[in-house]
Amino acid sequence: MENQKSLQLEKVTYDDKIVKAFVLAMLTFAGVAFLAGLLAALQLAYWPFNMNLEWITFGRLRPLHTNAAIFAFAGNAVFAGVYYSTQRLCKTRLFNDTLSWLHFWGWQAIILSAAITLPLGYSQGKEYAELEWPIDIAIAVIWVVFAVNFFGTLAKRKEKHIYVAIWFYIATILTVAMLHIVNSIEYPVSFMKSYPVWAGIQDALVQWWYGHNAVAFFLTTPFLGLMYYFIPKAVNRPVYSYRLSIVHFWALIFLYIWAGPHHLLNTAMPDWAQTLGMVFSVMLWAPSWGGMINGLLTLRGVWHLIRTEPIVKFLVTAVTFYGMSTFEGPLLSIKSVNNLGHYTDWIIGHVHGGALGWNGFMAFGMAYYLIPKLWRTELHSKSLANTHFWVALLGILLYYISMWASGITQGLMWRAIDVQGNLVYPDFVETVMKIVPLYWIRALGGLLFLIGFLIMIYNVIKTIQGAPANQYDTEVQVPVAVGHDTHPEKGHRKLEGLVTVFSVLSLIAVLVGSVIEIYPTLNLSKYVKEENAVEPYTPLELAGRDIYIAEGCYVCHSQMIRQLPGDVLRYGKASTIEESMYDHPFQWGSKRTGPDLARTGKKYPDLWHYRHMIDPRAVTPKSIMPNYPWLADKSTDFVGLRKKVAVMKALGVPYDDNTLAQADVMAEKQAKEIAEGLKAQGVTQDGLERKQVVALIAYLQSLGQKGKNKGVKDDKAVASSL
Amino acid sequence: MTKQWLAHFNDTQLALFGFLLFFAVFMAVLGWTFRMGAQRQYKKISELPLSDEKNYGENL
Ligand code: HEC
Repeated sequence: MENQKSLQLEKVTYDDKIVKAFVLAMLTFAGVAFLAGLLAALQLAYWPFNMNLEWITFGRLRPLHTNAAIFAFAGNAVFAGVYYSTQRLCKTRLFNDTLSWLHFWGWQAIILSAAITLPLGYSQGKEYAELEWPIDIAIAVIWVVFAVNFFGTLAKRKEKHIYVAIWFYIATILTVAMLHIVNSIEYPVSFMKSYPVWAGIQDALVQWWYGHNAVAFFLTTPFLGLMYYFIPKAVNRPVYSYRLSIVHFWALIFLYIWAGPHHLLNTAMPDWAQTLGMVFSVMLWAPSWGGMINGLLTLRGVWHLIRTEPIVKFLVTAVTFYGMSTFEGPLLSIKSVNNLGHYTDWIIGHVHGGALGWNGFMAFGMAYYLIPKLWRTELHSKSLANTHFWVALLGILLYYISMWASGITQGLMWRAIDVQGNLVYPDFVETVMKIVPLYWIRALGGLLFLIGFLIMIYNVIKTIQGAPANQYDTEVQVPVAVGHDTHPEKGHRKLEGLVTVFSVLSLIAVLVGSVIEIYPTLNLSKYVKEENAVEPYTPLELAGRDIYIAEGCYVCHSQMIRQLPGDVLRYGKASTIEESMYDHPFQWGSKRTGPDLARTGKKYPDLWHYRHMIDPRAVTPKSIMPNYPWLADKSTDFVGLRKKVAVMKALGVPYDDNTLAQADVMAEKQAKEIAEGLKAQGVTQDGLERKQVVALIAYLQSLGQKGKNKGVKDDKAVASSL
Repeated sequence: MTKQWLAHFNDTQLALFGFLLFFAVFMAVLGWTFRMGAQRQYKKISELPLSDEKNYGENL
């Protein structure tokens, strides 16, 4: 190169310290997430594993586990990988060191506050969005810090071209911001309590638009970016087809955002939206596999590295799991398959194929690559890394296969109908007992995964201990001229190089699907029929509902009877849109570890619920539902009810002025009636009327008992007349 | 005209609209990646991860 001599060069020092910090944080929180997951798995196999502590009872532990896995483990992994690769691909140091560290400590503080508030029962009751409003604001702020730091780095880059990995990061940053903000629009009641502005089907659509795209844009696009960076690095050859990576990118981000409604198939959601979700989910299969093939074929000619290099083993297996999950996802989105799989453990298996196989193995592969490089040493033991791989893989397979078997068993048992048209297994607990052995196998799978991880931790500690004392950051020489291109091509304004244009286009791609997916919420009057409207919860029922949310009952119970014979026979007539029209947040649920509760009101007497809440096995001998003895000790917050009712009214729930002014008095009166009824039946407890269990009973007894359904005791009769 | 269309707009058409939109985007992207000179440029970009810790000139 002739012109090279005349170029002035400058030295660029990459910020490796921040990457190290994120790597260590990722490993720390991986441990927390896996441990919480294992404990949760054990609790389903044998409920006393909650040790009768309210803080780690299943309903509170599961949100802790999912949040730790997604935001703490995967989140820190993404930040480590993004910061490492972006600086290098842009040939420049991160935009601003202060922002980098603000991002790091801010994010860890958010995780810490989640780890404190979730076990205490502060929850919004929306999956993967449980954190209360002050933390939501903190997340938004820190995300902006990340975005400024990231886009600032792109702005001062010394490399004109933008590698495809960075495209995936850009889509991640923009879309996650949009999802988080829209899904978290909430009205605070107090410092740690709020109600979402969305209700019922609106909330359901917004939540699953968010929830599904959290998988898409928090757990997939950034990891695909990492794949496009770390696989070429690990095998030292460029990606198989760069052209394919571009088509992969646009097709994926365009399609993913539409797929949310596949979480709501056969529900009260309008049919066309279900079809939309299904069609787009099935189409999503194509770009996903395009990406997988592109990742795998990058190994063309060096397949032997899978045998010899643990890093390559992890990365390649991760991509294979990505392929499996993205085949299974579209499959589960087909309505008839979804009939069988939805609400069952099949979904849990599907999620873990993605989370443990794809995200977990990508993160491990990346960590095995980064740690020796960053600490300027060799990995302590390759054979331990290989052991980690095999133990963890066995763990995932046990997990996956047991959940698959369990899910299909549940699905088939729930819908089995005999020749007379009756349910073959009318007793829900029978379907639970059948799968408990599989829960033990799942827990064993989780244990193996954790053991593999501990082997890794030992290996990492040994590696870092063996690192030289002199730690320094990577330096490179780059030309002073900004955006210098080594092969200037005149006349081509390249889209690939234009960050702003590119960002705007990606934003449009995700906005189009978003608007259409959430469209019914803007047009609700079309779907909500005046004559089917229900009346709002009484203040005491509202208090009970908040307890239901705080205890995370929704992680085991759905409140949405699908338009399917099995559902209708078991639970009563299908749920309508109107029945949840005042539910801020909606509680349709996603999993039936226990039965659907949409019409549980008046099915049992108050005393049944009282005994069931204190000890479910007192009324259902084989139940795996946890005990809730503290609900009979802790008091209901009557005073706070006025504010709560006022906020609900502000959100459009038609409470009259009397209820607004007298919420606490009305609640106390209703509580007294329930408590007296219980006492008359032999419950001896002082101050029972002030206890949370009474409010919860009021709520449970109101389910399915509003509007036209008031006083309907036996919905099965209604159902069989359908 | 627009108003009338909106009034008779059927939600089910959204799925079709989305599908066609996707098809258009897909074809546009495909066309873009096959434009003149793209392949040469892509080859260079795809090598960026392999030279990112090298000094200027080392990777040429
Ligand atoms: C670990 C999962 C789990 C959690 C968490 C859980 N349940 Fe259950 N629930 C079950 C199972 C399993 C059953 C079926 C066996 C039985 O009746 O206990 C059940 C049954 C019920 C029933 C009886 C429904 C019927 O129609 O027979 C009610 C009511 C109920 N649960 C309420 C609650 C409430 C309220 C909470 C939160 C405070 C809660 N559950 C938390 C698993 C759970």
